[in-house]
Amino acid sequence: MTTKSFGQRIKRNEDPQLLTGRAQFVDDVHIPGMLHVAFKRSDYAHARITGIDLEAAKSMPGVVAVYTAEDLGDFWQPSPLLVPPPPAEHVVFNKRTSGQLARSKVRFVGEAIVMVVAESRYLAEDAAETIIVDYEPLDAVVGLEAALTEDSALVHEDVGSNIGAHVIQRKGDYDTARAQADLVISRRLLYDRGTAAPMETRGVVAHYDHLARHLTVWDSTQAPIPIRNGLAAMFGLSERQVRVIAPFVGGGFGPKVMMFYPEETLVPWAAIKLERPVKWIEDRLENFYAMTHERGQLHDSEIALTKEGKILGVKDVFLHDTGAYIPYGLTVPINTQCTLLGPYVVPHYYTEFKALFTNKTVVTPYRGAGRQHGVFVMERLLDIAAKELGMDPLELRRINFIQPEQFPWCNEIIYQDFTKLTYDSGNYEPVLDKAMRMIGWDEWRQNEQPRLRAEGRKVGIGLVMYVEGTGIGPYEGARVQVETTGKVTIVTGIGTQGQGHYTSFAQIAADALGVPMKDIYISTGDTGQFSWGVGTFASRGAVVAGSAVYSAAQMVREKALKQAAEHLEASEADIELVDGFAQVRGAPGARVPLATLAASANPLRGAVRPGTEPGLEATAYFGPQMGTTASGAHAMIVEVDPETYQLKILKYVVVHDCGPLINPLIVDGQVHGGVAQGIGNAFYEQLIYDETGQLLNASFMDYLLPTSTDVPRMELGHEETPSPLNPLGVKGAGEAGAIPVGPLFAQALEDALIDSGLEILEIPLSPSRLWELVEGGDA
Amino acid sequence: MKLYNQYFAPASVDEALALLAEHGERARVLAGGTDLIVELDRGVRHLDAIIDITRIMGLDHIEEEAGTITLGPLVTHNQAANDERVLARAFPLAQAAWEVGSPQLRNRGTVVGNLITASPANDTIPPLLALGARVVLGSAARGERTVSLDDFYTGFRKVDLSPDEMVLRIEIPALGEGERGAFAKLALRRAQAISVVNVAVMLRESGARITLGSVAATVIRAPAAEALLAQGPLTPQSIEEVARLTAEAATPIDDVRGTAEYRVQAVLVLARRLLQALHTGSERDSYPTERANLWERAAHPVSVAPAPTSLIESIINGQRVTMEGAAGKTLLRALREDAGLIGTKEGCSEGECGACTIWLDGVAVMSCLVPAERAHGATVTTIEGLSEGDTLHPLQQSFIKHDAVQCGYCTPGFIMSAAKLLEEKGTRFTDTEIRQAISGNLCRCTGYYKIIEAIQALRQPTDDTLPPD
Ligand code: FES
Ligand code: FES
Repeated sequence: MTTKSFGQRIKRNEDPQLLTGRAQFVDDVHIPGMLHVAFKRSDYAHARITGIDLEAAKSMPGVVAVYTAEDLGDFWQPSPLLVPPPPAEHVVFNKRTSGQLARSKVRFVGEAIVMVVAESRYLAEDAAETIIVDYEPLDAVVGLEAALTEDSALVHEDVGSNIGAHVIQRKGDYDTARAQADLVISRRLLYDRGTAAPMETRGVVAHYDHLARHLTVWDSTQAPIPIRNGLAAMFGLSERQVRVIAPFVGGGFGPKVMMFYPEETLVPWAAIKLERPVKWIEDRLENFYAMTHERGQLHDSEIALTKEGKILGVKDVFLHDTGAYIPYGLTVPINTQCTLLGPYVVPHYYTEFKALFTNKTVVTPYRGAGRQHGVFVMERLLDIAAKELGMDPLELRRINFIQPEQFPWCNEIIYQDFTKLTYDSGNYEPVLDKAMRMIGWDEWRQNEQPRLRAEGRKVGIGLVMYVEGTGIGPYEGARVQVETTGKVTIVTGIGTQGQGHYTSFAQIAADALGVPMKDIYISTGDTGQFSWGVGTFASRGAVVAGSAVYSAAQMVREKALKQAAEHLEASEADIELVDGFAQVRGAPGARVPLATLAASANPLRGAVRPGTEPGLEATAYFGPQMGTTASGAHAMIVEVDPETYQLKILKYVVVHDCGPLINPLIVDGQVHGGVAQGIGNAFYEQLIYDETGQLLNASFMDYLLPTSTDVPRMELGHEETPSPLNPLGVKGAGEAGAIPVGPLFAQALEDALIDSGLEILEIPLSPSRLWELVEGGDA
Repeated sequence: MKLYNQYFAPASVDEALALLAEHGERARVLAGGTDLIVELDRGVRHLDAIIDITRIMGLDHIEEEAGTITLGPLVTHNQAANDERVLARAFPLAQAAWEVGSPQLRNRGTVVGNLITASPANDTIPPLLALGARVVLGSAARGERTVSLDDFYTGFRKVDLSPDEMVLRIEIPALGEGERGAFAKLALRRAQAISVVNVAVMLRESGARITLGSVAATVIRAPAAEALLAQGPLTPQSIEEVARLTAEAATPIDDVRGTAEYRVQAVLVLARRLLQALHTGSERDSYPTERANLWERAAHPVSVAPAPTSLIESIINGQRVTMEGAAGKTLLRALREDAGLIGTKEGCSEGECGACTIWLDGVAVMSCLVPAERAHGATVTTIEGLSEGDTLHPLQQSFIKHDAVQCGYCTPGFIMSAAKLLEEKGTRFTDTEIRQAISGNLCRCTGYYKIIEAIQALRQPTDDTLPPD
């Protein structure tokens, strides 16, 4: 491949629209005659519905329709299960998904009970306020351990317990390994709930054209094609009669994959039934309750080592809070299981979890998607073991690394793509070395830190490692077409939420076809343009769809070379594609524009030769046999105020190996954003529930996202170990920034507060919590 | 829902008082609206009418006469934080005002509003209480009465203010020669965060005062600590003892922001640090000399346009625009729904995210907290007004160059904040001012650093007269 734009720091094509306020997000869709939706949602975490009084709402002027679960008739259906449980050794799975509106019982605060459709959003909201729901409150299932006790209330009575799933996986024989160990460390570790909080909330607009029998849906989703397929099936329409558009999407981070939210099916349903366009835009309060959450795990973990520090085995038994339903299957806890082992040789591993139903918002993947929990457990155990062994924590990591020649490395347990967890490639020592150099580890330890400590300052350093499974299948596709103007169009089915796919894909095609970036137009996330695909999640956009774009572009390239060879009467091998022309190498005068080739590939008279397709275009699909594993290290230096426990990050370093970089600018941005979310998760953001299942901080006033004053400047380093699994050699980069921040904070804060003997076994932290741990005797 | 049914914009205080007398409990005076609009939008409070006093001339004045500093009911936090008289002789109030919210909120929110909301966590109450301030209340029926802040707070979020009364002014006994004071707060995030606790200390001829916020149902004083302070000059030993007694006065509860024990600890630490600063005379060192206010001039813009009838008419991006059906909405919704300007985004509707930042009469504000009617006769600039045709504003170009955009949802708000920084400061501004300027804007995608770089690129690179960051 001739590399021109690949690997360059190229500016994104989509920016001017966004910067001038002319990019269309779902809330910007306006259709004349449009109706608006508001929901009456549950005030209780757990209650039986004994009555619903809709009279006042129905009689309000401007109210068009009011629907309860009863009114939906046959359309009321539990949502489909997105991901079936994996074929692991021991699997119990109790599928429970939610219907569109709560019937007879509510299971979390914010669950939708009634849908109101009115002439304006204001009228719909006013009408929803008048609805009176009579509840018979039930005890709420909130705490994880409490959910398992005999006398706990049951979120789903028919399950007979609050166990949504129970999975055991193992590699080797942990018990035997433990018996041989010189040191066994056991700890209980907690990782609490958070929310993705994209700046744009969710929203759906639906329009059904009764004459054309065609449904168009604008949805702030990461996965438009599965939504299209699902809606078509639900409404008895052909997939050709449904078009789902994910326009500009204001951040997704995982929860905007969750097909199907109740609102996603109800809004189109109402549009068909009422023969009017219908719009619903979530407000921030609803977003806190009704968009899915992530996290909430309690681990009992153990590591067994030799006295030299070699890992013999790990055992991890954990409870995972899945919320009131389990529509996304076991992706999050499986990620936890599979990411825990990290870049280390762990010969024996026993891992078991129970996913528990609770009366809280449903949990689905959010950036990191359970991976951070696994990394937190492993890195913490290693830190504690290093202390016990009197070893340098980084040396302990180093001697346990999987070595470059050991790849592919199989960890034997089943991963979220249902294949055996296998790392395709990696080289971890250079990553560690670079991170140590960049943070200035040795200098800091030897000189800086002792000097600052002598001044009485509480300063600490940390460095943690992680691996990240990315770029999983099943597949994505792309169509690349040279139009008769010579401009190139690329179409894929994945949605984009700011990852810069437009630019990355254009770069790949620009290199294959020798056309300038500005002449490439990209369409993503519109099922009217491309019919096949899965979605943007699990850091897979650049890897999977990018590889499909690459294959399609290569096919077009071959077509162009063949035609040009005929046209220029030269051998194919001598043709090169440059600046929109096909030309004979060494004889630049002999050339033909791609536009001409495109026109002659689509003749209006005569015949296209048998065996050839018309047009200078091709469609290709890419399905990796398994995910590709990226890796990295984060390091930071932090200072803690010894009295208030507020902290200041003095330096932050990320070294990341995601294979060759398509566009370093975009990868940098993904890492920065991920770290900011990781910092939020580690020190600022925590969803706080009381014992009745009420969320106490459903507002940006008390659920604190980091602001520009809280996120440090980051220094980034890259290593490039190519993946053998795709033609570009690339690995995903979307989540790496967020994954190891929790254990990094824990390690660095322990170091800063070393005199206190503090051991941090929970995330998130806060100044108040840190103070309690140190001073409150709560440690 | 619509926020209210009726909107009044009286042209004089007498008119406002007459409206209050008529509507009583069902109405509320609106000045900055930064608290009230959120309560209405969230359905926490239901009102029939709001009485927007921002068109009454003169209510935004700060005056000083015979040792008293007077603040009108429209004086904003940014005004208080920048006014020379407040800085010189009511310094703790300036400190507290500067710590409130974000620049956009400080440009709308008023000190009087902060007093009346009466949350024990509100930042301007402790310094005003410590300064011995009074509020002057007016009603049509009973005329004026003056209430000391010591008596104004009657319980959790309760004040001695009848439904037919409004606050006409705050009177602050100015600090005299040799009298000093300071304020500090502790929050869980550096910028734009509600106080976990806040403390003000005042050392005056007439005696010392120490006040504490967020540690009881109302802002309280620490009498034992005050008594000890009155006994003599500060010494290292007395500082420790006064701080301890201050912490003893606190009776906080646990909540989502922190535990009771942590709050007591925080009071102890803040009190000690304030006393130490006062002892060494360094209490002003931490106050920023360079401040990004996101305004062009230091006066609160009071529009004198007549009150709107049913149509709201504004100059938006240089053009006269009539918004029909916008009554009872926020300006954000009116712009998006009735003026067709979709570039301004809604991220929270509570003044916390900055996605809705616009310029109202030349000042950056959160449009989700402005009643649409307030834009009548006013000048509004939105993101659509920054570029001219295909020619982008230099800041927009810089955002492209530095890859400061990911999903782009927050971007219009950041551009509007940063572009106002450029108008306020030209090409001379510090990194600290950049962070101040965008402290009210949340971005979930970029981690901010590239946004900061994009703004940095527009300042004069070699200007070494700037103070270091
Ligand atoms: S600050 Fe106005 S929408 Fe968030
Ligand atoms: S770019 Fe997505 S929120 Fe800022």
